[in-house]
Amino acid sequence: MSDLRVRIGNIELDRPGMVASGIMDETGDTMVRMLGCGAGAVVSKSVGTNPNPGHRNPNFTEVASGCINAMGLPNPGIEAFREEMEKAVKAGKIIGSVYGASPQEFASLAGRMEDYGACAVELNLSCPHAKGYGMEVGTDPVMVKSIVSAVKDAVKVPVWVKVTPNTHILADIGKAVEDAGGDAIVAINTLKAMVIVPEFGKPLMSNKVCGLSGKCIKPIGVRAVWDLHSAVSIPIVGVGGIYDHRDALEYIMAGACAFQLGSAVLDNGPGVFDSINRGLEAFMDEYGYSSIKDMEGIAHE
Amino acid sequence: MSEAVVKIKSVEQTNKYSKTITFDWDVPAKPGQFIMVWAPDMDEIPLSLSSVDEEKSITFKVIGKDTECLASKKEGDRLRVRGPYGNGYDLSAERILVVGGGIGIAPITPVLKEKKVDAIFAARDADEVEYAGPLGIKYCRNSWICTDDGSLGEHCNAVQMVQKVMEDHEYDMIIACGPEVMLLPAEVLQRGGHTVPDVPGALHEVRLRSVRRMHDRRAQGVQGRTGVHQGANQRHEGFRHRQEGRLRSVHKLQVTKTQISVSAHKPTAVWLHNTIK
Repeated sequence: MSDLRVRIGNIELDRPGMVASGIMDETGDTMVRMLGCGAGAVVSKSVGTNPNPGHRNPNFTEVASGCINAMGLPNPGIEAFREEMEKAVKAGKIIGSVYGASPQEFASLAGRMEDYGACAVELNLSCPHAKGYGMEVGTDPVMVKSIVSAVKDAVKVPVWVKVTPNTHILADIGKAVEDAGGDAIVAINTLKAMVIVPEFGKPLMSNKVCGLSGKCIKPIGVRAVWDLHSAVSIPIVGVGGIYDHRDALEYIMAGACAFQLGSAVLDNGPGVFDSINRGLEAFMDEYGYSSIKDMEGIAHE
Repeated sequence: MSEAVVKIKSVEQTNKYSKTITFDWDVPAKPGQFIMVWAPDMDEIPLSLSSVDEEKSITFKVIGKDTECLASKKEGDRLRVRGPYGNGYDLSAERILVVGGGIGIAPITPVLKEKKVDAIFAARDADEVEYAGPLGIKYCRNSWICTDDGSLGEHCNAVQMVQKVMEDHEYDMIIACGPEVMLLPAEVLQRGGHTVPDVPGALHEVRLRSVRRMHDRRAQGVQGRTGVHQGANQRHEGFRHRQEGRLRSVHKLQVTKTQISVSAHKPTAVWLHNTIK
């Protein structure tokens, strides 16, 4: 019988799929619910120091084979998020996602998430539509290194870094994460995008610039994981357009040890985790793989 | 789910309080579903469909700058729409009582056209409910009108009307759309003189409280502002509801399905669909 257990550094998960940050993970209740739906862990919504209402409407729409959003990191602030985390961590493994503008801010937020019981922290160095945050601090390897170092000094739990595909120096950023002692790289966040409504002659999103996710970004994500696998030796978590077990397998065979789902949860509901898990088991039985690890990065061989 | 820019066919004053905008949009939709509506100079807002055929409509009351912007639209103007979202109402039960309160009459209108049901139209006064009378006569098995001020139909509120109707009618399901105060089924059932053995009222209070809690959260910016989350949530029943960023939208979007087990000749299920107050 195939084994779906995976390890991301010293974090062991019973199932290889996690809920990506930003989908069904804003409250303790939704995180608990997702843990009961076949997800191996849940990454929380990215939380900052202070409450943030995010961008005005419109800030979400579907497009062909994908989703567009410019939520603008809405969150209640790290203090108010305590209650949600404390509820969620009782039900399973929660990775606390945080965003900040400086190494100190990241370190302080990560420390709070550790206090709340997060089994790891995920640094959002990749949101494409929040000024002064996300990819604006995540596309400079020097800055990435100093943020990751500061967080590593501040917490004992593993430090994961979610990186952006909106750069031509992804490998350098990956190496910066590794050099600073980062425990894993999560790739990829959304792609910088835009929608214009011709009838109105205006951008649809209030923020104009937004992030593209969903099926259409999978080949980009797979390529990013492929490149990172060649550049670093720390674990890689694949995310971007995974809807079924074959999508997940592409990421795994490109070099990911586990994966995350976002848009698919939105489109297909929480049952998508169980269906992917079943698909993986059937595939592994048929093709003779006994573990996810056996398939990790095999496309490189 | 689909998205389109539609051309407005007509803008009509439904009654003293609300307007109806009609447009052609060839996507399948069910009674009780809602769409997200946007045009420049307004926020994207959720509105229930008051007609679910190829010719669709939205019926709304002006309660703020977005609905004011919508109300200023004319025939030939464009709206950007996406959806439909939500599960829609479950119309599988045999004997259904539909209760619409105020602007909540609009989302239940498509139900009347789809299935022979009994209906209660409740409103504050005759001006708000007069238009529903002919709908009841045309589509319903039985229909009743009641007003808070007694200016049309029975002089009582929706809950009291349900009580009266249930004295000599039996239903398998109640579908209700209206303000929160109208939607406490414990109220509806208990004031109707029926006991609710499985304590669904308690369950309900918990749910409504959780909605209120979400309001508070929302004020703190916990939740995302995306409407599609709603869609996803409601498509996948049981998800915690996430609402629009603004408090007034929360009521509009909250669709709560509660199964209520009660003894013989009581409704076995109640659908609740909150509107803004």
